[in-house]
Amino acid sequence: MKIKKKNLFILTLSVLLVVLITISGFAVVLSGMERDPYNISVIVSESQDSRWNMFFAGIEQASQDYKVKINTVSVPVSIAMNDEFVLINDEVNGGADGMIVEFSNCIGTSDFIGQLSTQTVLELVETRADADVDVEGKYAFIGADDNELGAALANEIRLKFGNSLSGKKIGIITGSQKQYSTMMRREGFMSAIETTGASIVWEISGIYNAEELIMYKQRSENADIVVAFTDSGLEKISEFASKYSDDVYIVGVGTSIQNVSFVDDGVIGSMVVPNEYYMGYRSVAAICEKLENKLSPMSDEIVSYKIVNKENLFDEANQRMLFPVIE
Amino acid sequence: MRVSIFKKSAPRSIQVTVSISFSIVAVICMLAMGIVLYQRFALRSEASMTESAGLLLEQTTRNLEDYLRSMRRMSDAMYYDVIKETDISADSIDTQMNLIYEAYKDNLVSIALYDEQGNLLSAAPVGVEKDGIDVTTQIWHKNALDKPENLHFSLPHVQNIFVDNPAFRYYWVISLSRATDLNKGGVPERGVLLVDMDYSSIEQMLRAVNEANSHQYVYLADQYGNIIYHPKNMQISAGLYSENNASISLYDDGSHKESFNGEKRIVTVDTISYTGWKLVSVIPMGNYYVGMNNLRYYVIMVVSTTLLAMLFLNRFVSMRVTKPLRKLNDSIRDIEMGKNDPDIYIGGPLEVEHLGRTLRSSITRINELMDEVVETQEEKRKTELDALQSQINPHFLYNTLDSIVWMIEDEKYSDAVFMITELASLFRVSLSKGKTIISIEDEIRHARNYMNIQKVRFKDAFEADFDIDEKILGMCTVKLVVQPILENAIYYGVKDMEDGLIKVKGYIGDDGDIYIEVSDNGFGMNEKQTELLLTDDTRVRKKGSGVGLINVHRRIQLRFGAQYGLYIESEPDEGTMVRIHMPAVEFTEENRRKFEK
Repeated sequence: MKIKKKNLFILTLSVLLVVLITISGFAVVLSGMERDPYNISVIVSESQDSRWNMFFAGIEQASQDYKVKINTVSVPVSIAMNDEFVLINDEVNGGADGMIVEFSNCIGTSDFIGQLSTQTVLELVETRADADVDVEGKYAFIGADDNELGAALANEIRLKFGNSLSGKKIGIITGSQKQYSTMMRREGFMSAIETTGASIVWEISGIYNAEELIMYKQRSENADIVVAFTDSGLEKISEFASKYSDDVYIVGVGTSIQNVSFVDDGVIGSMVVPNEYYMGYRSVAAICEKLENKLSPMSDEIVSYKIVNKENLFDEANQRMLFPVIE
Repeated sequence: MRVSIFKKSAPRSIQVTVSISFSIVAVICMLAMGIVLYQRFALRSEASMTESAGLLLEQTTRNLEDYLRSMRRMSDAMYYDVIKETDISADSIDTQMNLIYEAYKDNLVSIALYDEQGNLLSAAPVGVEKDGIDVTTQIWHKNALDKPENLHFSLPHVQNIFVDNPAFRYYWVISLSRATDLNKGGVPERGVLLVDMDYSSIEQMLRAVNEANSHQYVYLADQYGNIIYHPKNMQISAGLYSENNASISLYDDGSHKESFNGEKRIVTVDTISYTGWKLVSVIPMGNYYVGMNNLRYYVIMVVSTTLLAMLFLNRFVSMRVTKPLRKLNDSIRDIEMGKNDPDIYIGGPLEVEHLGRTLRSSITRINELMDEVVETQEEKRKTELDALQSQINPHFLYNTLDSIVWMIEDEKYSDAVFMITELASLFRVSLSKGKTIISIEDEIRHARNYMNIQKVRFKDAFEADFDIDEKILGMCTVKLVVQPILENAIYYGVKDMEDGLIKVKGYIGDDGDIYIEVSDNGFGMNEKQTELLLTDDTRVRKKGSGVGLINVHRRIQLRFGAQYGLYIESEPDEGTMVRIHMPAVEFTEENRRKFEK
């Protein structure tokens, strides 16, 4: 039916107003509604360990800022790959919208990650893991440049003893060699130290019975320098050195307050501290951003690190990163 | 060339004009009202938020000042009541210091007294100094000695004096330091009293202020803008957030608007006594605007709903208001369409009713005038016809009288009497008391009289035969319609013939109408001439009375209608037949008046 021209104005205005009322009505209703908080599971090894304090402080702050519910799952360091997969799947089946995972077993995870990334938003932390090329950006990694961390440790030794380390014996606590983070730290360290003439006299990976193991290694090949690529490894060698007054020069990667205290006490000569607060915060933020905008690809993020020693431990710039505020 | 800015639009109905005008006015008014109210509310809301932030700051400042005042009093007590009264070289102040510490320990981490060289003289609780610690390098010690007249509050920092006990426990403190005069065996010496306030006390106080679930937050900075407390301090340290604290030193107490990182903010500053610290409330306007979205949508919804309601109301009101006008317009349209006796609407408001009445009286007047015009025209035509009819009389009369004279001269008195009698009868019918409609009987009588007279005049050069159905004699006819036809038949048909015959036949046709045929066996006419007889009224007749058949034809049509009149058939050398076609209407006075009117 042909609409009379005289009615067109009224009709157009009426339709426009009805559309406006509908849209604004929806907007009023929607603006009064808050979305259900996202559920994000954090699966890391030994989550209760103080080495995660800053990481979880970042996660906690981000969970408040982005209004998400965090479920933390602790896995043993030595967990078997299949058990780890089962734990992760349980979280996915439990309704996790996103997952922050530190894989304890990083080799042979391609298929699992491929499948996992279709079910949930995945953020790998601390260490990379085997995965197919992810052109769609369905998951991402956030962590330090491990190769660079290893190189930084080597550099600290050179700063202490000079570029020529001939005759110097180095012991290494590598940490789990199932994780790419420690592998790459070792690789970075080895590359940087090989030209100095230092010799690697012993190398251990596990930290169970560490005291006996270190004692055995030190008694057989008394290392002048011990390098630890993990916080727990650094803690063990520091405890050993304190307990037995071993004046071994210790450097390593650490974040825990115990290791900070060892730096303060002069037990640890130099410590590389990744910005784990940033890592925790951004891992949650990245998942939320992906959940809010599913089409935007996720991308890897490298976090910064600081090198602390007894001299600069209490510098204003380092305090916030090293000492959590105790209430 | 002058160009018109406004294109002339097509005329609209009053209802549409009223409706659109009202709607536009309503839209403009509602939009203006909505915007003004929204702006007003937004400004009021902004002012309210600023005021609220000011009150919050005021309260928090008071709490902080109370806290700092108590710390200062404690420091004063320690200095004036203990240190100044004690010979440090001889007596220990540990007991008094511990007592004061115990009294304030909820807000304190430690109290310590150092000499100018950085040697620890006393501390509470008793602590072991870290190996190799040199407090003279620490800022609180330097500040105290640099400006001995002041009390110095440091920025929050991790206490780095005593061995951590219990292990792995570090305290965030704000150091309150002051220079002291020490009495060492009567020798005055400079020292530094350090009160390490527990930072968590201040943090808890300010965290409570920031716990409200809003984007507004409060932070604390020293007079140079260095952050003492910030709810996002960790994010700032980690590079995840930035704060415009550097500008705070430039701000006086009160509210300020600033733009930081592309975001507009309302910053309210309040300075804390003794310390010069600045408590800062930040209201990010972006989040404020997001918070206002709900109100904005609500305003849009209310304004739109009101507009829609007004639109329909306008429509309804304009329909009601213009209904009488539309009815009046319908009446005018009926008049335009030529409807007979249109019903002019009279009603509605006074003005419209007046228009209706005026229109109705105008239409009545127009009709009256039209009738008058028609009547006048009719009268005129009648007059003309009468004049035409009267043309017969002198011409015919002259000839007839001439014949009568001739008869009298020849002493044919009986013939003269006959002629005069016929002539008298003819005139009686001609006059008919001025009537136009007469009975066919009279018309035929008139025709017979005329033919009798003409036969005498033309010495019986032709015959006349009348065959009239008696049924039609009592019917109506227009006066003098047969005579002109007979006249034509005589003058153009049989006048010069020896055996001319004119037949007059009257009958009722199959269709019920009356037909009177006048036929002659005269010279006849060709088809073209026959056609011109009833169409060309410019021809000048040279014979007879001058009354053309066209006049007879028109007179019949004027009275009885266009479907009636004359029909002529003619063949050269064969003769002519003229048929009069009239309705069969009984001749009564009523019918006569009807047709004459």
